[in-house]
Amino acid sequence: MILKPDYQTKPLEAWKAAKQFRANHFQEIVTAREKGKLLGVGMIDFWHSIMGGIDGLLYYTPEAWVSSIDINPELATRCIEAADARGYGRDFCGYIRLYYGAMFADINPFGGPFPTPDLAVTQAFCSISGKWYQPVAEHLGIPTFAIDRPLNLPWRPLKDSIVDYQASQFHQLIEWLEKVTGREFDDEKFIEGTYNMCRTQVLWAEICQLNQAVPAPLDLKTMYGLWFPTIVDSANPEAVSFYTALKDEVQYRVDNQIAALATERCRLLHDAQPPWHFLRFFRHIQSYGAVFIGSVHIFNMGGAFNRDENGTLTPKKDPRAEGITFKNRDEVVRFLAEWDLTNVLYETWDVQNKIDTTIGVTRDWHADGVIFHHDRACQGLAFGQTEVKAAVQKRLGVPCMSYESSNVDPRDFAESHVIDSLESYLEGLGLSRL
Amino acid sequence: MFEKFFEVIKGRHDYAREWKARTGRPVFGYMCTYLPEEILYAADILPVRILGSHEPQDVVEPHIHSMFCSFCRDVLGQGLTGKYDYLDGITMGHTCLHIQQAFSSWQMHAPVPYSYYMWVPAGTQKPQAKDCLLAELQGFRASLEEWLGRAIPDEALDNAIEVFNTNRRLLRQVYELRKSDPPAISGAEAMGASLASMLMDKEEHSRLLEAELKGLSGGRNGGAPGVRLMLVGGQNDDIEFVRLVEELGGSVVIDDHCTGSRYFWQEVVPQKDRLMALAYRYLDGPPCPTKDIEGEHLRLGHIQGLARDYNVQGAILIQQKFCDPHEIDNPAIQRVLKEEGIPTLFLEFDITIPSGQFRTRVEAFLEMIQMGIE
Repeated sequence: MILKPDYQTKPLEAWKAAKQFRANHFQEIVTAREKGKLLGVGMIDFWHSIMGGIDGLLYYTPEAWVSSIDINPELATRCIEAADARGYGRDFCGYIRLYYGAMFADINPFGGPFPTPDLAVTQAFCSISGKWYQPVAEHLGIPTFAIDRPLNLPWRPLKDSIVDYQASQFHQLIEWLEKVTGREFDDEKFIEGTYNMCRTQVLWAEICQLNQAVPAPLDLKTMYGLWFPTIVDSANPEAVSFYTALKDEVQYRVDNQIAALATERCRLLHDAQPPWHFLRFFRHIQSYGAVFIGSVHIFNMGGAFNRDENGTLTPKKDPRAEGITFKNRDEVVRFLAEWDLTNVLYETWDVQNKIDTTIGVTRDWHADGVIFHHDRACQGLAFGQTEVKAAVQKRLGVPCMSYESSNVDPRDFAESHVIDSLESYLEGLGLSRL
Repeated sequence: MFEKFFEVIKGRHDYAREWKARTGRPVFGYMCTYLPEEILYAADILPVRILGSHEPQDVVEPHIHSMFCSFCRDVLGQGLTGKYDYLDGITMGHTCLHIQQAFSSWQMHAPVPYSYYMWVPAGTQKPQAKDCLLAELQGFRASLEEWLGRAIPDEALDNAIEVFNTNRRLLRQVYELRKSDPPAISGAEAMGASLASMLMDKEEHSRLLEAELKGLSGGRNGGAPGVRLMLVGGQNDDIEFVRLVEELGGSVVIDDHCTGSRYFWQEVVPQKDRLMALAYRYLDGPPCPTKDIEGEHLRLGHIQGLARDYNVQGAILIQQKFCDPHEIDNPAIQRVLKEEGIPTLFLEFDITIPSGQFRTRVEAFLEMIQMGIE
């Protein structure tokens, strides 16, 4: 093994702001009722600017909310067992199971009762996400709306019929929100929120792109903490401010070779979601001089990239940067539909596209290895993994490893087995404990 | 009864090969039931659904996860081992990611001259979904026409719609016969008729089915009345399991399966725009759980209605292992059936099933119903 001198490193200054953003968001959910706000529940990678068009409607992202349950394995197990007891099986989306369990058992990781929403909006982007709130509506009697998010196949060019379909659903969602809340939709807030949302997503993509640098300025575990604003509240101007400052800081780290891991010798890409109940997984490799530098999932969910036929990701331009001025609701809705339908993440629900994207990211982020999480609790992101793994090894000669677990269910995680596999893999890469 | 149908199911590849040799026309495989076969039929193509083989395989592991639905793995396994080497094309209408991966991997590793993936809206209750599907159908038709080098005339579509509607009406008649007590035909026979319809030339299937139905016009005693059962689930094509249930004293009188009633329940209502007529038919029928996403949970009312119409005493919920769309629906289905006073038995199916274990569980379930134990 070649011994390199250590890079300099230092804590990320933006970390405190990220924690504060997260704490504020969850505190707002806890106090929503006493402040007389309506509470909505949405979904990750969502159209926050639409929800923000209703004054006094606070919405939360259930995936992020239940992840806060999952960092406490005991609490997570209680929730999951409550869902099990109602007959929900172990194999489907872990976030949904945790959310159902918290609802049935009246659990709130931030204190107080389960945050019963007044309304729920979901989107069908995988096999079951569109069905998320059917049992919730049946249990709580709340109104729900489902956006049927089309897969634009074949992937390019975007078909007008698909854009029309998505745009018409956004219009319906707005009308539905007005009807169930009894409040008028504010188009000005919607327009401003959309500029912010797109800017937030572009900034996140640009920050992810900066992690192509060697040494990596950020490690994946830290990135999960920084990711929060774009996936839960991207239309919030504070999210834009946060990522603007973060990008500057990351750029500074790149320019000055300030590493996330001083001993960086090996860069790894992670595929799919992390086991939230065992985030130490991401730190464990550091004693070998290895660092996780990102994942296709975290780059593209909440991040706005374009992808070319070689799998090269480049950040999109936000509408203001493109010189686009929205004049009315129709224009924004149409723009949003096209923006959303060209999200790279959803293009990976085609095996060849996922191979091309993963190969592009492995190459451009200078990864020495890829670790695939065969996630029993998210079969959407597990799509095509075995094919992708074989292709990465064959076409790039980059060694890969897989581990099977669940992003939410601690009962499905065999710690000693996974760690043994991980250490063997790292040794196979020529690394040893430093 | 229905022996010819069972022969076709068992010898499905021989049937398709023989049809191809006899007619000189292409054979396409399709996955899931949201791909309008009428368009293929109008193009003089025989559509055959890729069903389960129920044979263990060891080839899919490098391509598709072991935690993906067993049916999808079985489908891919058959493609990779060349069981469908006579196909000229494969197609599918979007339902779930598991079958999509089977399709995608099949395209990559067992390429055929033609393949087409068609997206199908999940928001079946949204009025604009019809327009969206119409555009997808137009794209599919155009793609086929380009491959064939000729147009698919509207008249051919009219004929295909009529042929398929006739077949659907006949299959509905078969199911009607199961309302009597004892039912005039068994659940295994009904399943055989439905599965064979997915594999055969529809006109030939209809001729055979019509003859069988005429033979039944005087009525037939299906034997001693059994416990009237409903099967609920997805791609259940396991006739042996239905036979097992009926040997044990159950009478399978109705199902909500895409290999059963959901396949033919809805007819196409002709209209000037033939493809729009198809769009209505494919979106308005009893839905697959992936096509039932709105607040009004359509499957619940439909299943409840079937249970009443067929005087069901118990229901067996069959789930392909790791099939998450069905898994998320099952607790609600169990609840609404319980409200009807109908007990349920949940069984998880794999490519092969543990028949000894299932025998014990089904026996216990039937005894429980017979004894009136809740």
